[in-house]
Amino acid sequence: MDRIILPEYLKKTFEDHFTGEKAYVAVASDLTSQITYGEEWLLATEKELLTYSIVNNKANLISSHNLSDIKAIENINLTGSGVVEINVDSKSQRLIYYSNAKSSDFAEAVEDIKALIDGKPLERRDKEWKRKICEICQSPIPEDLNKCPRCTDKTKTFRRILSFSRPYAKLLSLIFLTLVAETCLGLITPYMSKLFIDVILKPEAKTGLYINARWIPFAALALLTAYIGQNIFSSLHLRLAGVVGHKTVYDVRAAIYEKLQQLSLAYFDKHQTGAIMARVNQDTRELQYLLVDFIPLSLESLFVLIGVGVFLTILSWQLTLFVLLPIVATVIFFKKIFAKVRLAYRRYYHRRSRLNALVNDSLSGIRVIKAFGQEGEELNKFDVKSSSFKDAGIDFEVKWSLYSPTLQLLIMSGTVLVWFVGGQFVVGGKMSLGDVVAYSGYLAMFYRPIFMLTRMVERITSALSAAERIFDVIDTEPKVKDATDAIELSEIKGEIKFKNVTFGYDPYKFVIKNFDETIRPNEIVGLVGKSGAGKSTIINLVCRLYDVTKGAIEIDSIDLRQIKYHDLRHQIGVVLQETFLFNGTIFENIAYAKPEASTNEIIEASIAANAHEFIMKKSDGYDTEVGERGNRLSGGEKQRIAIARAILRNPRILILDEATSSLDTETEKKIQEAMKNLTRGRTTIAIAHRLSTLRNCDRLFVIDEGKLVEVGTHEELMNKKGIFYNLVSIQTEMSQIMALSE
Amino acid sequence: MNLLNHNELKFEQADNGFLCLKISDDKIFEMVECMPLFPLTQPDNYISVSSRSENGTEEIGIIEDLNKLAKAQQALVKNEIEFRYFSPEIIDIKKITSKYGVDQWEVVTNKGEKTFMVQDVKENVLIRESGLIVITDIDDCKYQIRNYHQLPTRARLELEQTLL
Repeated sequence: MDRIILPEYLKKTFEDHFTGEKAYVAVASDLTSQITYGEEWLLATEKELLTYSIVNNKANLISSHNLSDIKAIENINLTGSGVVEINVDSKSQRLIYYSNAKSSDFAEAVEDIKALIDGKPLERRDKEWKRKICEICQSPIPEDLNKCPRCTDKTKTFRRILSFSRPYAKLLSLIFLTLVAETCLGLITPYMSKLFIDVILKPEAKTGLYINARWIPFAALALLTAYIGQNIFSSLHLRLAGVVGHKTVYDVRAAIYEKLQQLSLAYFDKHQTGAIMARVNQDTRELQYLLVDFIPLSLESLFVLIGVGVFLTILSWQLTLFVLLPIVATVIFFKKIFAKVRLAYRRYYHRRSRLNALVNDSLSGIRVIKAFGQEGEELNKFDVKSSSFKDAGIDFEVKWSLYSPTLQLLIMSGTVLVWFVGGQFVVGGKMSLGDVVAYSGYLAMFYRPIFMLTRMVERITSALSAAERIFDVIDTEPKVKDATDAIELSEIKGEIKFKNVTFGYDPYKFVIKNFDETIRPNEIVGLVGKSGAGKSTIINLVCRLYDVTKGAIEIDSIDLRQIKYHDLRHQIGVVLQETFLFNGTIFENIAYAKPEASTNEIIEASIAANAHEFIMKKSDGYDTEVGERGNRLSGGEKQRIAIARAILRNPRILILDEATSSLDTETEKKIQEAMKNLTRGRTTIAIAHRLSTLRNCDRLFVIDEGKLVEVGTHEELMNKKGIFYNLVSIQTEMSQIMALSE
Repeated sequence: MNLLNHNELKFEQADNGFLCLKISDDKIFEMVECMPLFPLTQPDNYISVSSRSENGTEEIGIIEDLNKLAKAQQALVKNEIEFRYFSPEIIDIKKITSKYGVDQWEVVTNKGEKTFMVQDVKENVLIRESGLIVITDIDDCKYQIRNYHQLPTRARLELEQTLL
């Protein structure tokens, strides 16, 4: 195979040992058999499987096996690492170790070796299988991203942020104009001081009379006008910037939320809810800060800096050279030393968040705390975190009290220098008194933009990171989506065919293996197996929350991936193990399945679900608020609402993930009756835990470690005395023990 | 809980890469796997020892304190643990560079030098009050800092700049 290029040190050793042979598979590990970082290789020729260690750029053959002797080969995934194991002479053997960074390479290699053993051609891999590597920095690219986050063109990102503001181009131009006007008016005021001192309030040399005193009212008026104008433009620019910023961020937030609704479940498996919420809230807030505050203020700072710089130079370029010294010192201090204050504040903020999280957790679980009498323990935990927060607070205050006055001192040293040097210039006739006063005023204006611009890189970097994270979400392609040639299927009959289905949430870690069976229309099938056997995964695949890795699932002989997503979803009803109710009324929660349903339909569905009876006993009936996540209802009540939802949807295929929590006999009976009403005339796949449900199923599928191991009726499987029989025996024993203990 | 008697255990390294365990001469287990039950907080205590067979993996018992085994025996078990729970310990941090939400860590671990990338610190770095830090990189590899207070000063500063 052309794509295999062995490093020289390995190529030579390999060719010496196996003259004329060709390596069809070659993959480098990053761990040695002593579990340290290092390099070992797994190679497969047409006949042999070899491993090599590499020490000081020298390859040594560790093992060789004839492919024909290998009965099985597989990757064993562990925590942070994996190993390739082979089975020779009915004995397992560990062959080569690798860290998770090499998982995909070894998964691919093992598949190829299996093909070589079976004499099949090597498969071309889906690009998803291979680890993506950045072409620029050669670093691995995070799996859910399509581009290297370190090498993305940041100017492109910045332009993209601004592109969200494009609809508001006119407003942006207006902001620019107001900024220019505000800056110009701001620059007038110190100069007016010079005019007052050097011209208006200067007595005539000969007479000592204030001959220009008549200009005082006009000059004062001009000063007042400048101040008023500056503030009007400032108010206008803040207002316009706020409008544009908020509107832009609103658009970004809408785009990100819309994408989140479109994304497949696989995305949410890989990202914690907290992190996703941070994208929607914190990252958009960061963008808002950039657009509403930072860009306008930076622009203003830039104008002020240029304007003030020009005036300082005009007034005295010599003095400006002197003043540059404390300015440079101040900038260095601000950037290098004052950064410690910011770090201390970040630590203080971080510890405050941790303390808040603890208090939140503790108050949410106050019933449990009291039930277990753990108030003292909770108090200790609080004390540790609170004390750490206090220490961070004190550290911040100490640093602030030390560095802030130092910074002020450095700034003031500039003013002192102006009067020290400027005073001598006045005496020497190089400057007027008005020049020095104006100069001092301009210098005061000079620091804020400098500080602003000093932090510009940091702020923009932070905002660009936030923008990158937002665009990552917006640019993520849903893994499950309609095929371009997807067909409409308005009426599903209900046959579900699993054709050699293999699936893994990670493409190289299979949790369902070669699942092959057919469910007939209107049949009730129970999925049985130990926890983690793969039952819920089967359900996820039928609902097409994920696409199969290999094989196919067909509904009415059509591949699931060829059916329009909308049609599929509208004909599948789901009652999940944990019923999730949204904050709202009972009516709203039932109607969630069919928003256009009439009141009559909703009551009919509730009656069929045996829910009507408890609803009518609630003081607000169907208008009863269920509370956050439905916590004002009991487990049995929530389940019946979920069943009512499913009945209202009237699906052709019904998925039931039976609740494991025990209910009282009366409620259990009511739910069983409701289930019977629900499953009548529909293809039903139920994850069954209760014996009563198992007996109601037409057939049972027993799943073990992702494989379908037994199929049959309850009676058939009991007679077979296999895995199902053992599971039932354990459950019966448990029921008897429970009954005795009660 | 079946606590194993330290004096009766004899681990051996088999040719196939697995451990073998003899308990008092009469019980011999092949394809033995060792897994710490508290890999982060008590890595040397409560080691579950199980044996793989055609019927699946079954626990033989638990070693309460690994340090009570003879040194050579400890080494064998520790090697097996490190293989099943590969989480190198960071003993020094050379440099952490943050760029656009991705941090590149250049570190020295007890398994050698390593450079890895971490995306989204909030999601992938766990900090415990005890000073333990667990970092998960973009390849889902785990690294530990047993107690960050005990890192060299420069390394601690690098860490604080990134994590706090």
